[in-house]
Amino acid sequence: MDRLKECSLKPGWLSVRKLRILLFSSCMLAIAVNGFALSKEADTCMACHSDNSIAPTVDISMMDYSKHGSLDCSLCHADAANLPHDAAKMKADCSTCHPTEVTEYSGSVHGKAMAAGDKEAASCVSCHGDGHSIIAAKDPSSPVYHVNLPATCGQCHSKGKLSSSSNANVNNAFDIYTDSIHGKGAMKSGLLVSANCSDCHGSHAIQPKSDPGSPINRANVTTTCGSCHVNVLKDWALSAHAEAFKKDPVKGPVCSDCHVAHSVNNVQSAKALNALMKACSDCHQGEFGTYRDTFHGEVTQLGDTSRVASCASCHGAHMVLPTVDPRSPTSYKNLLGTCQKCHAGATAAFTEYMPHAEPEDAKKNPILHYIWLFMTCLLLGVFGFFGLHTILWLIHSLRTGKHRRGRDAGKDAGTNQEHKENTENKEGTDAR
Amino acid sequence: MPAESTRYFVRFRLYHRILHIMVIVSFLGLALTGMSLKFSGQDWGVWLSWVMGGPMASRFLHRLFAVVTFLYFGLHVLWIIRSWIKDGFKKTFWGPDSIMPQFIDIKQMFQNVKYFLGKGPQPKFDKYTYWEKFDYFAVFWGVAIIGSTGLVLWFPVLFAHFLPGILINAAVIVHSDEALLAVGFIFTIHFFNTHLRPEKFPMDKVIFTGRVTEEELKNERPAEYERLVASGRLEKIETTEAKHWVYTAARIGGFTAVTIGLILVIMIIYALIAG
Repeated sequence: MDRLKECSLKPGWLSVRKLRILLFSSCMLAIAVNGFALSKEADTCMACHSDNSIAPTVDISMMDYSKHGSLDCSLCHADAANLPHDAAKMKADCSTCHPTEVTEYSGSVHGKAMAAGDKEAASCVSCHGDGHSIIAAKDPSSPVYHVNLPATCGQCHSKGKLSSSSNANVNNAFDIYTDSIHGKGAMKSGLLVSANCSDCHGSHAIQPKSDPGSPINRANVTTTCGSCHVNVLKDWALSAHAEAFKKDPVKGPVCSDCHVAHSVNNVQSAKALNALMKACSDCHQGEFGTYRDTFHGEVTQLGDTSRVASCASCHGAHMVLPTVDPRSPTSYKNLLGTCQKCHAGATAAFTEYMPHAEPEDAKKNPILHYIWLFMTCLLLGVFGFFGLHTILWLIHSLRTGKHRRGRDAGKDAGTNQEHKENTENKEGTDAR
Repeated sequence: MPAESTRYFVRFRLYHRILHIMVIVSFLGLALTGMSLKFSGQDWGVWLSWVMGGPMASRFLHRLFAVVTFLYFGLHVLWIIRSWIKDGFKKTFWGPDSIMPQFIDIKQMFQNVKYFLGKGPQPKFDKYTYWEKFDYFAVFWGVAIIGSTGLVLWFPVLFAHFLPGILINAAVIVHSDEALLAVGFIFTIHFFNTHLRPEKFPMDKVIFTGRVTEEELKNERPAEYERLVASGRLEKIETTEAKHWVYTAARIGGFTAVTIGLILVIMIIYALIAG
């Protein structure tokens, strides 16, 4: 390129038109020889390693565009300058230029698996593509570009691709992620702010969840999610859940306990909201049971979450607090306002309604308990009495042949037992 | 079909037949929409709700049928008032022509159970048997209880203006359990007592035709028959056979209602047993 520039800058012997022609044909020539920008050393190597000369052949069609296009071959392939090459030293070594990344990789789940001889383990080129045509991650056509990365990871982490792992979360991650709000955001809408794989898992130093240093380890999850969801993290930090987490990092709920990692979804959808409430019920089983007994709980269970209260409608979502806390939406001070969000015109008496009533428990609400007990006895009494009544009636009718219609009875009076009985009855009552 | 010479007498007037059709339609509608909510934890509950257009559509239908219920309840109360004015208090609320439970009903109930056990004669029933009176009051009480608690659940904010909020909890329990009682009772006991018992199987069409044959009247309600003969009123209530289309409609409508009811009650029993 510099040579060309030098020529064009010499004034006098070239007109602008001639210059244009020269510039154009030079470019065409450059494209035609397919290696205009290659280093001198690379030019030499390509004498053998292009097309179908000596294996391995190198596809240099993208090299002009590649970040590595102008590098000497021996930068990566240590013994490239010597002939014949020492095969052991010819394997590309990325660490010459990218020492940090390679060190991180070596300690990662991928690097360790590779070292252990796992043939399926990802190497540098698995994600970044062939080193000869490698392009910057910022380039929209890079396989590790923000919105392309999920599909790249998905080459291995989708259904039926990995045989070396039995962890469904690892194996099907891409399939689940695709349908999540993060997946749709990044892959469908192309949102650079929507989390891709590396936003949560890290990239070169990727570690399993169990590793204390992993960004998705329980201890780190809230920080990782909070790096994008800043206000949510602030709210959570004030919540009873955060307090519980501080006391017991194993049981105290973090983001991923309610929002299921890869399938994290828009909470507006009924399916997602029911899944969230199911997550609440993992710890708050009793409360969830009593909620399901209410109109609110029944309607959401039927799949309509648009008009009725779910857990978070009353308790808040991230800043969930116990009712005794005056900041809680269910506190004595705030309850009326919380009900009024949906029930306009609600009075203080309205808030006496118990959304988690337990009529079976006499100690909790004696009035409700006795109403419940009365209704239960009423049902058992009525069904008990009439059930028995019906059974006796049925047995009697079948035994005495009453299933022969009443109106037929008169026609064959002589043989019909029913008729006989009627006659007997008449006598019986007459006698009285 | 009975022979030509069969005599027919009116048992239910058109007014009552129409009210009973209103009862059937609204009761089935209320049962289906209500039970899909009560059994939302069951797959069939979710399916049933989906069939009816989702819980919000079900809610609308439930309230629509509730209005029909209040309407027939009101029309029935008007009829009681009419009888009171026309026939006087005593004849409307007491005696063999009244549906009011009386001492004789308790007596006849014991007699009938003895009769089932083969230890006595069948009692001589009058116009309304004790189980029919129970059926009637089950509906009367049922509409009053389920209707009033249903209104509380329909307008909780309004009711909480002058009643304590715990009443809403109580209304939920009473409405739901009383509905289970009503649905269970109508779809098993009432269906058996009036339609499915061997004497009437597969159905008694009197509630649709309004007519009974002389044989039926004599055999099933001998006391009433004797009273009608003695007072000479029997001829006054004599009528012709119901038209053919009425039988057809009764058969189709009756079977539909009985089938829907039985399926629903089987699903409810399944849910209660399977949990």
